[in-house]
Order: sequence, then C-alpha cells, then structure tokens
Amino acid sequence: MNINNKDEDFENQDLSPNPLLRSIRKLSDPTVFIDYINNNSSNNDNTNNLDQNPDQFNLHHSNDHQHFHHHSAQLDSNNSSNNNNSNSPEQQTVLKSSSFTNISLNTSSDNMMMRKSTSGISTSGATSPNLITSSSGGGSMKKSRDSTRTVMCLVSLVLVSTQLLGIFLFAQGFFPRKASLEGYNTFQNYQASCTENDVQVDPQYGKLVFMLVDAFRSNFLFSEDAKEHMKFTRSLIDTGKAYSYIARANAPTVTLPRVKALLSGGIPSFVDFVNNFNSKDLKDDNILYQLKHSANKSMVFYGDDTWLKLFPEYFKRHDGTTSFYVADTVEVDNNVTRHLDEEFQNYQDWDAMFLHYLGLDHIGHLEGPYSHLMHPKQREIDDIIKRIHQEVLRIDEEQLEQWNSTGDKPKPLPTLFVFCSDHGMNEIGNHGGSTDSETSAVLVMMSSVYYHQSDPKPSHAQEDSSHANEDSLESHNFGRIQETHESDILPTTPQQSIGREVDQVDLVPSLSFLFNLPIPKNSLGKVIPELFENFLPTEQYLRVLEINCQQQLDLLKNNALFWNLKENKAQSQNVQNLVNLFVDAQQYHSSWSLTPSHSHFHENAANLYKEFLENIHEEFSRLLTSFDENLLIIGLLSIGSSALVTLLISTATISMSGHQSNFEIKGVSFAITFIGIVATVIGIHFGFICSNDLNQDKYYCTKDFRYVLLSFICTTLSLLIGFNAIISRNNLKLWTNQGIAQLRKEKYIIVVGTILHLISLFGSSLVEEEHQTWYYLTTSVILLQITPHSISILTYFNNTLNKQSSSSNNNLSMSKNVGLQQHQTKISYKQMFILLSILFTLRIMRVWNQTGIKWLDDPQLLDGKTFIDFGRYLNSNQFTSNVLLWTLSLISIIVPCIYVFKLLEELKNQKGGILSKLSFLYKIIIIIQSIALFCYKWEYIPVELLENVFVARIVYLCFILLMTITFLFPFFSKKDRIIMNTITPPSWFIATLKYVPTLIVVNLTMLFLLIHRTHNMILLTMMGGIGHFYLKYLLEDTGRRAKSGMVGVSVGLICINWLGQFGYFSFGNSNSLSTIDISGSYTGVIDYNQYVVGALTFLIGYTSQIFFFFVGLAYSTNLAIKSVSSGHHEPSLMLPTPPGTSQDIIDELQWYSLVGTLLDCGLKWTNVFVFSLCVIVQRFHLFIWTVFSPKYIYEVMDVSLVLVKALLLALFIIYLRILTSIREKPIYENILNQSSSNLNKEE
Amino acid sequence: MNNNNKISKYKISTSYLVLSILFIIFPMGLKSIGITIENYTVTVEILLSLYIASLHLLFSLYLYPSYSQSTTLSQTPTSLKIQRALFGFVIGTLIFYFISILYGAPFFTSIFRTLCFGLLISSMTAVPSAIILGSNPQNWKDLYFYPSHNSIFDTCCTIVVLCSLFGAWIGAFAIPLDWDRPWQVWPISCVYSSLLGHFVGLISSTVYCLLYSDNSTNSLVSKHNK
Repeated sequence: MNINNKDEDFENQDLSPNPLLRSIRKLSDPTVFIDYINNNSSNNDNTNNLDQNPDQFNLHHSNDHQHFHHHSAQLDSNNSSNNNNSNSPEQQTVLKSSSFTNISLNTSSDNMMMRKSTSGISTSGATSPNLITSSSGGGSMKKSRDSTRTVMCLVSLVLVSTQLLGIFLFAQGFFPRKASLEGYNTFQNYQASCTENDVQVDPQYGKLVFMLVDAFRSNFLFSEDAKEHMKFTRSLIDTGKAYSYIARANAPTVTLPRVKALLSGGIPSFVDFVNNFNSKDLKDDNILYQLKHSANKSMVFYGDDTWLKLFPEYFKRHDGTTSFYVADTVEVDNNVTRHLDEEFQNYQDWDAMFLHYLGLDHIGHLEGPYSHLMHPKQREIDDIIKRIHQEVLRIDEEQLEQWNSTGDKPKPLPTLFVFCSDHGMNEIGNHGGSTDSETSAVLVMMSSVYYHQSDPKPSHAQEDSSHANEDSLESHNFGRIQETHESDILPTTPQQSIGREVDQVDLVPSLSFLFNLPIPKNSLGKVIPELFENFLPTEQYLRVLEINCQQQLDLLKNNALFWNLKENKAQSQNVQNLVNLFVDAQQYHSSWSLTPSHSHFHENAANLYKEFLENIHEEFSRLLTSFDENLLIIGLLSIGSSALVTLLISTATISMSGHQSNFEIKGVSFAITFIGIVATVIGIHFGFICSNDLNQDKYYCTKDFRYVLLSFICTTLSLLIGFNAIISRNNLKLWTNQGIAQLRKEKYIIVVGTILHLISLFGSSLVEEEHQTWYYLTTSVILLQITPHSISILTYFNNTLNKQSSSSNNNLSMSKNVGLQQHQTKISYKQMFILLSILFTLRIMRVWNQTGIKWLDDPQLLDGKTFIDFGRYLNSNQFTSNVLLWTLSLISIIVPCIYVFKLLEELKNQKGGILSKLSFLYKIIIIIQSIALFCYKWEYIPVELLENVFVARIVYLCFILLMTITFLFPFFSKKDRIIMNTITPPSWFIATLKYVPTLIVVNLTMLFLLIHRTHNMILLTMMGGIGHFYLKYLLEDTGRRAKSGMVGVSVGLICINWLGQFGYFSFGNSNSLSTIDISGSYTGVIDYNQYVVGALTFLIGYTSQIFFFFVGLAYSTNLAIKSVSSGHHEPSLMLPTPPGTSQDIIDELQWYSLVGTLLDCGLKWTNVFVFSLCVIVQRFHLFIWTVFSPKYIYEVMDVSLVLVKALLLALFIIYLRILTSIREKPIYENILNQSSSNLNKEE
Repeated sequence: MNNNNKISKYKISTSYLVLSILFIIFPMGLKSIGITIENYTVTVEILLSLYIASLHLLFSLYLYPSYSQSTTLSQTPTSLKIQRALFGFVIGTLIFYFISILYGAPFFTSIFRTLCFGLLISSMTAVPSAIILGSNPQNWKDLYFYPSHNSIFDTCCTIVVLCSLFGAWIGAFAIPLDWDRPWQVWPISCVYSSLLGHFVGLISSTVYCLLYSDNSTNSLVSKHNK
C-alpha cells in the first residue's frame, strides 16, 4: 500500500498531471465511483454526502485519500453546478475542470512564493517547495508545479530588479554628484601668490567662543519685536559693535548637515540627509581639524552630543546633552550654561569653546515660534550672550594687562565670539524644508576689537596702536592698528552689515583666515570681506582673497563637470571666463604690489577677486541642478516598464474569476533562454574585453554604457512579459469587459481617485498638500459606501410607519417577507452607523496634526491662543489640556487592553482556541506592559529606582513575549475532538486564522503607543476602532462582494490601503523631510545603534500603513475562511459550497494576498513612474529641491515598504504552512490507521 | 399617443435648454452688477440657491402635468410638489452641510458659508430629485442604484444631479493650490465648479432628450407608483 508506487505506476499510463484524475480513472473501472456520483447528482439534497460520510469514501480509497481530500471540495462544487449531467464523459470534463482548479490553486501559491523570493529571501524560497509538495502529491504534478514556480520566480525577479535598477539609475542621474576632495589642507598646499614676496596672513584672534543656538531663526534677532527680547545683542548690533548677518542655510535644514556645513564649508548633497540619523564622525576637512592639528588649539565642547559623534576625541573637556528628549526645554540648556563660569575662570586652559544650545529648537518643535516659552528663552539666550561677551572683554583686558606687565614679545591675540544658528524654523516650529524662515539663520561676530572700534574712546585700540608704534615691526604688525585710523575714513562700518545676507558656508573661510588656518579643502564659502578689509594691511587682505580664490579654483579644477581633467581645460565657456577673471585679478594684484604707493589697482584687484568668488559660487550652485539626462530617461524606462507589467499582471489576476482558470504566461522559456544568452555575452564582454587596459576608454566600456545595456535588457524583458500577459487568455477576458462589468460602485472613485492623485503629483503645492488629496479621496470612498445603506434607513423608517398604519391586515407570507426585509434593513442600518462613525473619527483624526504648509501663516494663529491643530493644544501647558492629554493617553492604553481581554475570552470559548493558561499569561503580560507604558510616558517611576530607558525596555520585552505567545498558541491549542472529519478545516485552524492577525495588530498597537508622541497615542486607538469596525463592515459586505469576485476583494484591500494613507498623514507626516518624527526613534535606546534607530523611525513613519496592512491581512484571512467554508454558514441555500481543508484556506489566503500584493506593487510602481516622469518634466522647477526631491525620497521609501509588506505576507503564509504541517501530521496518521483497520474489517 | 410622446420629447428638450439658459443668466447677471461670489459669498450662495430651487420647482410645475403618461407626476398636485421641494431643500441642506464638514470644511469658522454651500448644492440636487421621487425610499434606490431607468425625467434628473455633485467634488481640488487667488477660498471654487457641473448636466439632459429613442415609449410610464 505504498502511495508513491501507485503514483508512479499511473504516471506511466497516462500523462494527466492530477493525482485525483488518476485515482478516479483507476476507480472508474469498477464503477464504484461513478455510481457514487450518480447517486450524488440525482439527489441534490444529499450533496453534502461527501463531507458527511468521509469515512465511507476513505473506505474505498484509503490509499489515495491523502490526495483526495484536497480535491473533494472542488469536485463537489463542480458536481453540483453541473448536476444535470450524469453520464460519464461529462463527468470526466467536470473532473478535468477540477484538476485545473487545482493547478491554478498551486499557481497562486507559487505566485505567493514568488513575491517572497522577490523580497530577497532565498532560504524561504527553498523551504516553500517542500511545504507545498508535502501537502499535495508528487510525480509529474510536482514537476509542472516546479516549473511554474520557477517561471513565476523569474518573472517577479525580473520585475522587481527592473524596478529597483530603474530607481537606482534615476536617483543616480537626479541627485547631484558631489566631488569631494580627500585629505586635509595645509599651508604647503597653497599656491604661490602672484606677488613676488609671499605675504603671510596674520591671525587676528587667538581664542574662539562659538555659540550655536539650534533653530534660532533670523527674525528672532532682526525683527522689531526682537529689540525687546534680545536687548543686549541688538544694542551691540545697532551701535555697530558687532557684525551681524543673515546666514542663508541650504536645504535640508536639519541639524547634522548644517553643523557639517558650518564646520567643513561644503554643501552637503541631498542624500546626506539620510545620514542625519547616522552621525558618524566627519571625515571631510573641517575647521575643528585645522584648529586641532594646524593651530594646535585645545578645545572644549558643551551641548548637543551630535558633535561628540562627529568629532570624537577632539575635545579636551566635553559634556554632551542628548537631543532626544524633545520635551525638555530647560535642563538641556542649563546643562550647557553651568559650565561657563568654570571655563571662563581658567581661560588659559582652552583656546576654543563650542556651545550648542538645543532648548530653543525643542520649544519650536513642541509649540512653535509663537510659544509663550519662546520669549523667555530668547531673553535667556540674550543673557548668555551678554555674559559671554563681558567675559570675553574681561579676558582680553586681562591678557593685555598681563602682557603689559610681563612684556612678553608675542602680543596676546583677542578673543572672537561667534553667535550663530544652524537653521531657522517655520511657522509651526519645524525645520528641514527650505522655506525662507527655515533657511534664514543668524551669524553674529563679536569681539573686543569690534566693541571698541566705534567707541567714542577706543582705549583698547589706541593702546594697541601706541604699542605698535613702539614696536614698528612689520611682522608683528596687527591689522587693527591701521584699521582704527582707516575706519574713520572708510564708509564701511558694521552698521551697514545689519541683516546683510551671507551664505552659511562663508563662515568657514572667514574663520580660517581670522585664526590663520588652512581653509578646509571642500569649503565652498567665500570670505566675508569686511572682516578683513579694515583689520588687515592691504597686501594681506588681497592675499586673503587670492588664497580663497585659489582654493575655489582648485576645487573647480578637480570636478569633472567643470574641468576636463585629461586635456586640462575648461568644460564650458563659463568656466573659462571665470579663469580669465581670476587671471585679470591677479594681474592687477601683482602690478599693485610692484607700485603700491600710487595706484588704485588694489581696489580693482579686490573687486575682481570678489566677483570671481561670487561667480564661482553660482557655478557651484548650478551643480545642484545638473542632471544626467540619459540616466534619468533610462531609469524612467525601466521603472515604467516594470510598473506597466506589474499592473497588467495584477489586472490579469484580478480578472480571473476567482482562481478558476489557469494563469499562464507564454514564451517564458524563450525569455529565459534569451536572458541566459545575453548574460553570457555581457559577461564575456565586460569580463574579458573590458578588462583589457587598452579598451578601457572605449565607449562600450564606460559605466553609462553598462547601465544602458542593463536597463535595456530589463526593460525589454519586462515588456516581453507584459505583452505575454496581455495576450494571455485571462487578459483577453478582461478586455472583453467581463471583469469590468462586475466592478462595484466604489471602483469609480478608486479609479478616478488614483488617476487624480497621479495627476496631482505634477503640482508642487499638491505635493506639499498631498494629505488633502488622501483625506478627500478616502472620505469619498466611504461616503460612497454609505449611500446604499443610507437609503435603506429611509426604508426602515418607512416600513415602521407602514407597519403602524397597516398592522390590521397581515397574512403570513407578507410578514415573513417583511421580516426578511427588516432583517436586511437592520443590517443596513448597522452598516451605515459603522461607516458614519468611521467618517466622524476620520474627521477628528484630521484635526489632530496639521500637516502641509498652506495654512500655516494664518494671522489668527499668531496670538498664541488659537491652535492650528489639536495636538498643539494638547501640548500647550495649560491645565485643561494637560488633564485632557493625561486622560487621552490613559484611554489609549486601556482600550487595547480591554479589547484584548475580550478577544481572548472569545478565543478561549472557541473550539480549538487558546489554552486558558496561555490566555492568562497573555493577560498578565499585557497588563504589565500597559502599566510600564503609562509609567514611561509620564515618567512616574523615579529615576533613582529605574531609568526610563529600562521602563521602555520592559515594554519591548513584553511586546516580544506577546508576539511569541501569539504565534505559538496555535501549536498548543485545544485538541479537536472530531478527528475523523478531515474534509472540514479543523476548528483550531479557523480560530487561529481569525484571531492571530487581530492579536498581531493589538500587539503592534502597544508597541506603536510606546514610540509615538503622547498626544498621538489616542490616534492609534481611533485607528484601531476604525480597523475593527471597517473590517466588520467589509466582511458583512462580502455577500455582495462575493458576486464581484476578486474585484470586490481588491476594492476592499484598496480601501484599507487608503485608510492607511489617511492615517499616515493624520500622524502629522507630510512630503517634507521636516516632519519625520524622530523623537520616538530613541525610545529605549542607550547606545546609538543606527539599525535600531532606523528601524524605529521606519515604524514611526509607517505606523498607519503597517497597521492597516495587518487589518488587510485580517480581512483576507476572514474572507478566505468565509469563502472556503461558506457551506457551513448558509445551510438554507440549496447550493452547497462544501468546506475545504485548512490547506484550501491557506491556498485561498495565498491567492488573496498575491492579488493584493501584486496590486499594491503595481499601483506603487505606477506612482513611482509617474512621479519620476514629473521630476523629469519639472527638473528646472523652482521647488525641485524643496518639494520634489524629498517626495522622491518618500516614494523610494514607499517602494521598500511595499516590499516589506510582501515579505511579511510571505512569512505569515509560511508560518501557516509550517503550523498545519506540524499540527496535522498526527491526524493524518490517525486516519490512516483507522481507515486501514476499516479496510481490514471489510476484508 | 406616439405622436404625443414625440412632441413632448422635443418639448422636454427645449425646456431643459431654457432651464439651463435661465440658470446661467442669473449668476452672470449678478456678476455684471458687481455682486461676485468672492465678495459676498453667503449672499450670493443664498440668492443662487433660492433661484435655482424655484427654477426647478417652476420647471416641474410647468412640465410635468402636461405629461400625461407619467402617472405619479401628473397625479402629484402642485401643493405636494411644493411640499416635497421644500422638504428636500431643508433636509438636503442639512445633509450636504454635514457632508462638507466630513470632507474637511472648517467647523468653527465660516459656518454660514458652509451651510449656504449646503443650501446651494441641495437646491441643485435634492430639490429636483425630491420633486420627482417624493419620500418613498424605494424610488430613490431605483433611481440612483439601478442602471435601468424607465422615464426620461429619471435619467435627466440623474444626469443633472450627478454632474452637479461631481462638479462640486472636483472643485475642491483647487483649494490647496498655492496660487493665492480669491476664488480658492472655501467654498468658492466648489460653488463655481458645481454651477458649471449643473450647467453641463442641464445641457447634456437637453441633448439626451433629443437623442432619446422612442423604442421604449411604453417605459415613459414611470414605475414609481409601484
């Protein structure tokens, strides 16, 4: 009785791929089986015979039952649908069709496997075949399935790799390529001056105090209002005792790139933003390096510990404050300020002090620039500035006195105090984008020199000059000696520089010259002339400009875009003109140096140098808008083709009514051969021909050529697949309108909405306000879903009215009819209520977080009493809002707990549900978790007892435990009593499928609650409610949905996806990089770990999508159960759809998830395609860097999200397969034993 | 009988054309005397909605009784029609106000604007359908959820209502654009687009009536009295 032997025997006889068919053909000889079917079809009422008497069946075919019970379901359904045919040839066709069903089922499972393999997991791909083959027979069937699976794997591999390659190429062509120079600059690297004797530039300052205030935007200092709050600083500026500038920062205005720019002078490329979370030490040449290594200064640092990560071991003393606890606005600054006294006491000990104040940024993030905390903070900063300034003056005085008394030769240099900010903030306190207020930072230079220069009695300076006159040594000549006299004559006074705009990077070369350091190599800044013109002798001033120009030219000549490195000439006329300009300037310079006494050539030279610097800066910023158009087009082609094909395939799969037909792709073997040949040819080409040095420069060996070739192949292949998909039978069916006719009402909105959304991507403001589109579309879909029910409610009222009026005459049939109708209207009523409350909740979610920038500058918001969104109200420090926040957070923690309790009770009472012990454990863990969560949020546990980080870790631990229980309980669930009944899916399996996704959702909710901000916690609860009830609605709707087949299912899935988008934006996310919420990314993290932080950021950002993805999973599982075992639920219907086994359910689920994923991928990729097209069209748009490129980064992230979702689905299905294979093995053995014993008895 | 129908077909068509012209004249006239929607949003909304509602009512009073085959409508006395129109107007206003709020109209500010927008939409959609359909939900269901219509008025009413609604719906897409035009303020763009949609609906009803084939003359008898 060896099954395999039998299979092989019959394989030789007929080539039918189906073991069922084989077994039936074999059995048709003794006509037992046909008799059975005849019986069955002749009396319809007993069509359930098959599953009622499985034993009887097993009796006859005990050796084949393992195959059979998979197919009995289909067999029966087909049988009943064709129940008029009872002669054997038609039976054969019926059986054949059932065998087709089987194939397509497996195809679907293969497709699912393919999705998973696309996600880059090769090991799971290896395990899946075993699982599938173990569930169904071997032999030729296995072979054909294997080939189909390989085909689908290859197809999907081609599609995904085309997509990814396309995105990669596109990004390569789109994002600016930064050519940064390696190594550090030294004085030796400087080119010689054009003058005959090499002029040395003298340092002007000896000490540096560098105070950086995060997010201090320029109008905090320069507006009229600021006179009151920044009293001291403004008085300095207004009286001309300090140089002040608006420092224009480049996007992205996030702290790390800005700090890098402030210190290295380079403009970080856009991609650097991603590295904001990954602050590894700065390798580029920078001021700090030069201070340490060239000038040998000792440095101290207090403030944001990002610096310590950027510059490990640079500082003599340091105290870093973390920027993660955004809620803290006071301590974070006190931690910096408390060091000042001590440091200024022993000022001999250090040469440069860096301070980074974070409090203002925190206030901005919490409450915006009009917060009531902002003015006190500004005053605090003003006080600090005043204090430092006085200290600086004191230090200079003391040093000078010391020098006077001791009479050392080198005169001590004064101290420079730089007050600046890294970026501004917008009207709601965020930053990251490039609006005017975000990019306008401040830069104020203060020192005793500036302080005294416009003093009525410049005592200090006069003292200097007297010394200098005594010294009369040129090499020890201090610039300001001449300056004090000249400044009276020259019109340039600091007063004119109020609010003058400079680039943020200009600070770097200026500082370098002020301290006489080599300019950092990649600095793109130009010196601020007035800091030198009046304080240095003219020849030094000219030399400063010259060095700066030479350094810029050096940078230019090292960039292949400007300079042809091989032929050593300029790439364009513009660049050549620049070089000529520089040569002109040098000529003036040198001729002036020969005859310095009587000529104005030095002014000409200085002006030309400045012009050169301006122009070269423009040239460099033009670099930002240079694209490699070839790569863009190639990338676009690849993205587009794969998007098109995926859409085609997904529509093809949807249009298949159920999975009754076989999905096929023609010409795949040809394509595979084609790939093979091409791959070999390419391998030979690049491997052998191009490895030869002689051919290195040929066009066919260039990098571009390689890209072109690769993308050409990918595009061709995916188009090939696409055409095959079009030609295939299913799509023909779709085009003949069968599928479309079945679509439901919502589809109009879905189709129109998708197209509208795609169109909206072309407008910059619609990209900025994308949330409005999604809010609008989601509301529309749900409103459309309400409409039929809202009319039913009218019917309901009407009926009750009618009943009252006509209660006298009711016969039996009428009342029955009315009763049925009333039942329906009751359901309708419930449905409408559900949808209405969902709409209400969505409306509330909308006001929770304001995103987008259109209505930010509403004058109403400025008074500090009106709030732009509810979240801001909750965070304002009023009593009512605090109480409300506390209550809401408590509710949002308690609700999931109660829900879980209810779920567990239900699950426990189910047949084959969770063991009561496990359920008890689950409850205890979730209670511990919620308590820890609440304590973490409100910091109830004193730090001495347990640090908050560890409280967070308790929550993590509980989450892991809960997940483990969720996934493991089915293995230990209650045993089924009815083991014999193998055709119905075991109840434990149904329980598992029904409850596991929901439990996952709840567990995830607890995790999300932890990492989200306190005021957003309640949003998760709202989302949970929406998910729960919407699922209920959709499943109730399935009756109607089932008629429309997969179309209905995919409409449901898309609706859930749209809800996910809605939630995503309601959390305050937008298409600007400034809204990425990283405050929670460090929850429970002690040491910086970029992977953990990255993953947490991903989770925070995509909370809603992930949440609704699992809701969608729950939807699919419930639907799968419903559709497979619907025979049980509606016994009144005469058409029985007999229940399937657990394998059938999994197959069904796999089918749904396959369709869902394909659709998801298709839509997302179309999105990427359209957006890429939009980027190409708009590449010279004003907002290309501020609106479109962040959005592009988001799009790429979305693609990864889709892949992650596919991976999760695949993992879930693998889990189910493992589960069933482990759980059902003993049952099979049991049945085998029993049936064999039955057989023995008969014999 | 057949002859009668043919005459009535052209009559209906012309009356729809007249209706559309009358409808579009009023806002244009308002604009020419300097009352634009941008300046006096609420006033114009109220004026327009009253005007449109009364237009539809007059239209029904004028047209429907002469149309003897349509049993429901001919049986509907004038007072009932007015009653229905008023009822539909009020209920529709509330419903559309509610829907606008759900769609994201500001809740605390510009309450009147939103309410009057509801009034306007209601006058364009709820009034004509309420006059035809009355309060029987089955009629509403038949009209809007089943593709086959039996009466020329049914189809025209559906066209007009759907066009106006679609117009109002699509108009909101202009609001978030950063052009800073006065008409981008809620609900002005929606008012404009819904007016346009209504006009398009009326015109297409005109065309539809002309193209209406006589094959289904018997179906001109409305089934609403079932």
